[in-house]
Amino acid sequence: MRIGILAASLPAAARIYSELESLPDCSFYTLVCNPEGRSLFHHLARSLAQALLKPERRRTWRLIRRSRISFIRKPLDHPDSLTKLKRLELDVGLHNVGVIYRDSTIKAFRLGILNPHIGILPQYRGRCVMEWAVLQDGPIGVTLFFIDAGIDTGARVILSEEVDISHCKSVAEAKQYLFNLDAGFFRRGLEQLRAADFSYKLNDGSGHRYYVMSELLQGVVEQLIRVKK
Amino acid sequence: MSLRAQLIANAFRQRFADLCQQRAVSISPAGFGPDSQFVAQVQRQLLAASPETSFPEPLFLPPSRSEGSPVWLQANGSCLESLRSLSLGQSLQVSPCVAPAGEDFPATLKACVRDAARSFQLLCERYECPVNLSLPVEAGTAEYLLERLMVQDRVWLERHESGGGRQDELELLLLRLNLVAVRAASTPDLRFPDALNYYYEKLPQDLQPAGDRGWLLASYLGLYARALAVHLKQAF
Repeated sequence: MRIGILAASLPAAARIYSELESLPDCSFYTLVCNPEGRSLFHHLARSLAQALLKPERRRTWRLIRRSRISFIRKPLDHPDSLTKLKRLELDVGLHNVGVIYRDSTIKAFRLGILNPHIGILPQYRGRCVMEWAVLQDGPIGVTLFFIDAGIDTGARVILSEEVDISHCKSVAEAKQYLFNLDAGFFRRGLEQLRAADFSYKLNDGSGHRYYVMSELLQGVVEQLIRVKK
Repeated sequence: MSLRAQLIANAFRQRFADLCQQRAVSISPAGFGPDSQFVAQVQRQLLAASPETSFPEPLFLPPSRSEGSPVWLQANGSCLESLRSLSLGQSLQVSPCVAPAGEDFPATLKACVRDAARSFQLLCERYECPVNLSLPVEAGTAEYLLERLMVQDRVWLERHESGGGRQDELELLLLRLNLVAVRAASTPDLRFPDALNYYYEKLPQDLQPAGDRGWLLASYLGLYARALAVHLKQAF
């Protein structure tokens, strides 16, 4: 299986790669995206600096040695970027960059792009979903699914699991804890995808879309998380 | 009451107090020209408000929605006149009428999303009686208005925080806020009152819209207080 890790930096991609590299029969491609539209020189210089200076540089150098790296300087839906992606003939993309994908980009991957959304679908779509789930005493967890052009409406779910955040002391800590589970979910998701008896669960879009939460209710969520600890 | 409900209620009570004591004081009715009298009325009401005793009336008087299936209502007056009344804590005198022809109203709104004046007109026409937005059959439009406020209008507000935005776009944003506030007072879904919370935190306190319908800012504050009071009374 040809897997593309879509990331904004080499260290970010390396973190994912380190969890996946032992997967059998997989080849990995690191697609370093440029969501802030920096110049090519700036883009490359930043990546090199991160590879040399960040504490996790050993992991980053391992990625550089073992995966194929492509720098995607233009937006992912730009014709040049799409040509680059299609040439790689990737089966699956792994989302690890702050962009919203257009249909043309998603279709450049044979199966699609996987997103480890930190909310249980279909109930919790959109923004601040962990916070809304805490506020409503709803299920908190991660859903790994193939995205579509909508907001968390992709129908094909591979994994959806509740996660215990009771050990977290704040909203920020709890969110980071859920985000950091992405590599593990990618790994288990890719393993499941290749299982003989695998079938998708359906995200039927029946839940609500959630939005940025006010400071007022964020304060309530902070209190709830502290109490649950 | 669960701890969760208590914490939410405490937050809403704190916000109600801030709105009626701090924010209301900062309103300058004179800056609203011919609508200064209405704005002053909203201000006086807010300054005297308490969540227990204010807004005692339901949003509308007979027919009751609990009897039989929800019906489309008409009120005496236009949408904007009704919003003024509701923001002053009054109830609308309503009577049943024929619902608008079955159409995909959110799609109609999306089709003229770049025409603020037309969007404003369409919303006022459909919600001549604003409480109709609380009907289950209008859930799609309510979701659309919520999405516009919390996605595209948020971006618009960030871009024009220091001014420079078109008045018709600001007035459309304020109309959406008013309508969402009417919905917020009739649903336990916290996403609706939280949109009001969010805009309360983000709209500049010294904002004085220059257009003819700038008073929609004051009516939004009045309707926001009403929605908070309803949630505090746990009217659901």
